[in-house]
Amino acid sequence: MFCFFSLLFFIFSSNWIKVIFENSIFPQFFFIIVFSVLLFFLEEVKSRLKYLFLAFPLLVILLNIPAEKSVYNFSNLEIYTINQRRTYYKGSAIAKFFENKGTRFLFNYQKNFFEGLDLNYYFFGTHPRERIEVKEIKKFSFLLLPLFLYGLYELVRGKKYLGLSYFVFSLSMASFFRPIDTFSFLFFPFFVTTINVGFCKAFFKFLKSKAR
Amino acid sequence: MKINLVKKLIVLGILLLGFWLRFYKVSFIPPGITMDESSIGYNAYSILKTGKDEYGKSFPIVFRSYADYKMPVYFYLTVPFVQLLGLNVLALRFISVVLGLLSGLVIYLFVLKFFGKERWLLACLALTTYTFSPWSIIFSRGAFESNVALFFLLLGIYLQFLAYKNDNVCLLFLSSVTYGVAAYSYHTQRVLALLFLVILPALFYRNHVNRKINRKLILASILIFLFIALPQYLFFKQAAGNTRIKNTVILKPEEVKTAIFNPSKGLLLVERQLSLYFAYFSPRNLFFDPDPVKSRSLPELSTFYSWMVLPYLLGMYLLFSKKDQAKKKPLIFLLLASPVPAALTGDPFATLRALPMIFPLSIVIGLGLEKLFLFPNAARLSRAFFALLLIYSFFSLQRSLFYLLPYEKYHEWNYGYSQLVEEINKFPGTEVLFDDPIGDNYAEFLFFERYPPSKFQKEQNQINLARYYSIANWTNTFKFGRFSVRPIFWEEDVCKKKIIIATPLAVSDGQAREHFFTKAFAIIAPDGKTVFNGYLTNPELKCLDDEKKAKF
Repeated sequence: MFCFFSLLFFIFSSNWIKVIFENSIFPQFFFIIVFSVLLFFLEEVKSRLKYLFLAFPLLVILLNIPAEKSVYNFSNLEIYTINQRRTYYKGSAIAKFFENKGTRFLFNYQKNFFEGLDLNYYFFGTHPRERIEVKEIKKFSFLLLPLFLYGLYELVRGKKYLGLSYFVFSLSMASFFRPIDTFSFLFFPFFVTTINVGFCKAFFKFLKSKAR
Repeated sequence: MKINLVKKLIVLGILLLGFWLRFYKVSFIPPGITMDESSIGYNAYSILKTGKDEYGKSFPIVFRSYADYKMPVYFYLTVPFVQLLGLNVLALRFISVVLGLLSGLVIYLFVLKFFGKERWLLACLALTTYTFSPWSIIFSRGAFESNVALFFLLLGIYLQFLAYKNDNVCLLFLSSVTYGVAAYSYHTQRVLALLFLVILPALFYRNHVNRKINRKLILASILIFLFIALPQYLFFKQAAGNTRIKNTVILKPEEVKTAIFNPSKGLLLVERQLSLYFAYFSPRNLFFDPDPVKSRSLPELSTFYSWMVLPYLLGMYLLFSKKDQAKKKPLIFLLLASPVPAALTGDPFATLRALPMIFPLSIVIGLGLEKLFLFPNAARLSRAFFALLLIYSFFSLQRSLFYLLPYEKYHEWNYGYSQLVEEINKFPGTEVLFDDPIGDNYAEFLFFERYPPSKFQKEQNQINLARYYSIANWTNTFKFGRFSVRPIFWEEDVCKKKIIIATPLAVSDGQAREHFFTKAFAIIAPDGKTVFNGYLTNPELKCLDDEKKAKF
């Protein structure tokens, strides 16, 4: 029960939830709170059916697909770059293998994927490598970073992979759209539950050591 | 016996391929040489010919260069190659190629000794990760002091470990000497070498009973290091020791003092420094986004290949997991300490300063790869997959290094000076003015012209050699022989017969027509853009009095 309340505390005290709420996208706000609570409870469930939870982010994305934000929607500059680069190879066979829309798509996808994988994106407002034309926000206080890392370590050690699978799956889905911020709200449940795990584990460890 | 031979052949194969990736066309790719490279090359030439640097200082222990005071090891190591091969790009970069490759060998040997021979696969994977990493390749193909410093630092760590493992006093003292050389190789290593030398013994040295190496000998090894490196530390009070720190480190003592007494400012300071520190572990920076300084990375490649993120994360978990924790402590320390000096600077992700990190990171990625390789029931599959990824990475590297780099980063590598000097030499005896408001490209001319050092020492801006290590200011206009490097003084320069060299942005076609310039040559970049134009002035026409001009 204590951990559930601490979860609620971390949910509602985070800057990220405020930003999502301010953007007044009610379904997003609603979804991520429900997902966070569900993730918290499902992590302890032993049945493999819990992995059905991974369908939720997919559903959210399918309901909101913004075609113009797809990483396969290339700008004129990107098309120019492909054509320009083909001239560098002077007829070499690898030109077409590397310089085409497929590799550009892969590049854009990876760009999103790695931005979503960057801890500085969540805890430091992407400082020191802020992105051009993106308004960066600090999603969580940097003071929570040790709790997150500890929580992550404990989850992996305890072989509790639902949260991690949820994050990897939703990141893989969200990376199809740019910027990554379009669907990054989906990662909120993973971060907030992992911070909570770190906090609870550390807190009970502290209590245990005090009792001794 | 047969297996051992196969293993040796595999390692040899990796090293040979690594040598090819570093050495092939090294004189032309990267295209051109940076201002730091030209300064290193010319000063090595100057030392060879006169025993003095460009300012006339005999065998300096820190080179003043552009008043940024560079560490001396790279300069002195280049001297024999300049003697052998002449002053050219190959001679300048050769030592970096060789030591960049040998660092891989040291990593391999270290892992083999540290984890034991039964972990040969791990050693081989760490070697592969290092040898083919874009991070190592770009720094091995350029004359980077940091790359040479990495070798000496790694050698120091390896010898130090061997000393404690084999209880060998000679190796212990040898490691101190190697750390000492590392401290003379690059600024970052002044901090790291001392840190490693002092802290690693506590982590390597576990059994204190009946051993030759005791605390007194450890102290002696530290004293040997200090004896060698002391001049470097004594320089901290002078420009030679603190210019680089002042220019790069953002954590100022005043700021720390304010932060101590003002908690909110303190918190902001901690946040900033932590964000800079964590940036060095970010998968985004390590596997996707290249160094913000364009000459320090390959196009569309970061420090490692993007697919390596999986073994990296797995390796991190394995490193920090509780299994064999005591044994892994030195590695954890090396991983956490290596980016500290780099994180103290304001740059968001300075791969040059964080280069020592490549050592623990290669092992971490190797750990992850080893785990994937030995995954139950999937060893063959994962090996085949790894082989495919390696082939793909190899071709990505080819693409980035040999096709994209010459076209997309020639500007950052100062392309065109070699061609420029060739063109200038077609006009013997004509004065040359190179338009350069900053003035830091004079060394490019000295390098490619092979300008006699003894002549330059007499002609250039003189400094008081007694205060060689403490003069922080720098004059940015140069006149040597028929060369002038400075901004154009339009009123004077157009009225004298000379070649004016400028970028198309500095002197437009309209300006050239207005001043009756004749285009003598143009230096064209690989992508067809003009890098420099060379104009012959026309003083007869430009500076005639108005009446004659009207008649003309």
